[in-house]
Amino acid sequence: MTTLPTARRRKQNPTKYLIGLVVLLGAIGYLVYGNIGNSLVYFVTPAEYQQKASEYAGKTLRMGGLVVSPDYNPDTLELKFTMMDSDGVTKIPVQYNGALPDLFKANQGVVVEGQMQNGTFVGKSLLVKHSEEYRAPHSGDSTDYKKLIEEAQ
Amino acid sequence: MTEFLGLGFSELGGYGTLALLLALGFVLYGLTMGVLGGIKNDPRFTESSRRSAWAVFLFVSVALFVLEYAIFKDDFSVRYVYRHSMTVSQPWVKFVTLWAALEGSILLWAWVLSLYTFLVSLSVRNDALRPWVMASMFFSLLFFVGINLTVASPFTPNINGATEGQGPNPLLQNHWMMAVHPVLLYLGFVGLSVPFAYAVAALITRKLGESWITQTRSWLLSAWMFLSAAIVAGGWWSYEILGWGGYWAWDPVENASFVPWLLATAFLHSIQIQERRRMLKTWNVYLIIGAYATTVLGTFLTRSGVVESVHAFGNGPIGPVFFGFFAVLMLIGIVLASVRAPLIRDDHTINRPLSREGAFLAGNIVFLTFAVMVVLGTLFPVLVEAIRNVRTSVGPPFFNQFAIPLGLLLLFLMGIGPMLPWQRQNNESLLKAMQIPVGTGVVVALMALLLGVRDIAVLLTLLLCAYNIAGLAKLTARAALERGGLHKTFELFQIHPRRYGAYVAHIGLVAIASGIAFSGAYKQEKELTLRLNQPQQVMGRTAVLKSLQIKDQLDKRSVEAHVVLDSEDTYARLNTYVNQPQQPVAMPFVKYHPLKDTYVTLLAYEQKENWATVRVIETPLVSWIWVGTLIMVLGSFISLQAPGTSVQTRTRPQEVTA
Repeated sequence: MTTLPTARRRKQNPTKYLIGLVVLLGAIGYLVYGNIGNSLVYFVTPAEYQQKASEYAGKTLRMGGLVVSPDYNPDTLELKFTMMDSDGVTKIPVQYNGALPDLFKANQGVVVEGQMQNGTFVGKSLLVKHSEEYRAPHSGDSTDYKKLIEEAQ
Repeated sequence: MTEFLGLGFSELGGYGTLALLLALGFVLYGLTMGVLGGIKNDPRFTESSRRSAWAVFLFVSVALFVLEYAIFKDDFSVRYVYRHSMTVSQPWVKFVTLWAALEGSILLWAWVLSLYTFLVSLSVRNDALRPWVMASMFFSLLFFVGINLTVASPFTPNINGATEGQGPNPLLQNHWMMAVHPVLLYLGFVGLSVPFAYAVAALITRKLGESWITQTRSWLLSAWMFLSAAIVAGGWWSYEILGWGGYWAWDPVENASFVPWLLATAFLHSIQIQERRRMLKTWNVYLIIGAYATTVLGTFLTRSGVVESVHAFGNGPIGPVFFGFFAVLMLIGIVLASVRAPLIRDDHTINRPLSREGAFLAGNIVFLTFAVMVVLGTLFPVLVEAIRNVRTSVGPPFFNQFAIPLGLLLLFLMGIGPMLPWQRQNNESLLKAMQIPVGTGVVVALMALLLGVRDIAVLLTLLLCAYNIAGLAKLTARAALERGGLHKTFELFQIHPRRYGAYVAHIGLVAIASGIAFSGAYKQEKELTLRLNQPQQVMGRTAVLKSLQIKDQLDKRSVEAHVVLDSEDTYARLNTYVNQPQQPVAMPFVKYHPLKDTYVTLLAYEQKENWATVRVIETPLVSWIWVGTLIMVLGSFISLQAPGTSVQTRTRPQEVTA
């Protein structure tokens, strides 16, 4: 047991708190004004992308939609398909190089992460999310789609 | 069926809920008695509070046992068992199903907390802190047992009369690590509740001297040891199962366990300053409150769906409830600390930054900054959505931006701290002391440069790692020589287990740092499709697919690709569990080597056409991370052997200076 010395109102020494504060603020500033924009991944649907194509130029996107007419060569691991928005109209060509997950089929939902290059969406990773309740998207269920994009791993 | 609380419980569900209700009753009783014992200063109340901790431990254990029993009996009238278990699972999978989902893991959390409360009740000193320590532990218990009876009840009945359950998540049936990682994590998380309880007791009783720190040191170090092991175990699981060859993705869940670790590590160092120099009293109180509160915050983040994560946990009312508890903890801590702040007077201030306490304090600031940045990064998508209304996620590059420089800074301070004496340092002797370590570091970095390492972060890491080792070796050798020769080194560990245990832990961390640097900078991977018996070149090695075999078992179908890399046999598998036919889980083949693992993942196959697509990954020094962690845990263990040293008012004149 130690006894507490008689309490005296201590003199505040602000220096150390100031140093800490400066370090913290500096670190946060470094983050915000560093290349924070380049490490953000935006979640979009093909229709959303088309509305703001210029804004998303050069950014990493995570796009979700329906697989249409896939073409895959297992020897070169090259995959080409068209991604259709749940509005049934917007279509974006997709290119991906890599192994095809088991669940990847035509008319299935898929989420691709990558960047747009000359009108083609070049995927770095392909995410297939299958849920028990999954139905092929139809007009008017874009909310499902947003969820799919967010949940895909 | 048993009618109970208006719910038709099955027999087992009824027993479990009853046990939890009794536990809750004793929690409330213990809390009341603890507070009364504190206010009235009557040891009889306090004694009563202590004993009710035993009853709580007993009843929560009964509840845990009942749930485990229900899982093994395949009692699908209990909803938790129906949703997360199935008859055909292997026994070990059934055993870990207890914590495979939310309700069960909260029950495990409550059980670990009741175990700790029980142990505290046996070990807590008979002093003024005692009633309030017990009361604080009961306060945490009140929350966890309470939610186990309400929003996260594992014993909720299931009335559909199913004869087969939905089974556990495939990812959790795939590796024995799942039996270890959550338990370690909770031992670490919940362990932080003990120093927190002591801090609250010290604040209430105004006894903010060194007593509460001395009493909680072993608790803290044990919790820290478990937490460190748990975080790396999680990384190792990710490496062994997810097939991407990595072990850390800055996923919200990983961050949720990393933030408390950072704060606990800072606390582990700053309490030494308080013990030695009677400084930073307020700071320490805030740190432990922050460390404990962030364990709850992390759980909120991962369970509430606020932040998307690999650990796609279910949503529900549990998130807000946890957030409420986090807010309450922070509020209690901050209000108490603010009220008491004018009474806390540090006996000293740091008069020379170039001293051991100066280095510790600098380290503390870095740890705190690191923690704040990780929290910011984790919450950044939430902020972006709130401000700009776009959904985003933050990739690892974002975190690496600050994690690498801060990590290097910590490595630098870690090497300088032990070399400095407490209080005083004249600059000449520092320069002299640092000659050997810095020289060694520079030599090692130059050698690496000659050997072709061009990555600046890796070179700096190597430099700092070598300088750390050289410094610790120098200190140890000097101390041993003073005792009469290098053969006396072992004796040092017996005399000063605390100090030399810390050295060992530092060496473990150095190994981890080298592993992270090399594996991060020089990972290579390639995906290719192999046809049966047709050799292909991959990253300078020859790969041949020898066979593709499909094995059907009760709980899963397993596909195995036998691929020979040069002369090494690898067997990568793809498992499909009967309860989730749509979600195949890869079982990468990992062969550990000291310098470079052989790592093969089976991605896709077609038996009829005899081809398999595999990913071959080469990552240097990954094993160093696992070995380094073992060394770090060993170091903590050595440190724990120390008898609690009495607080020294003055540093001894013969303090070892480098």
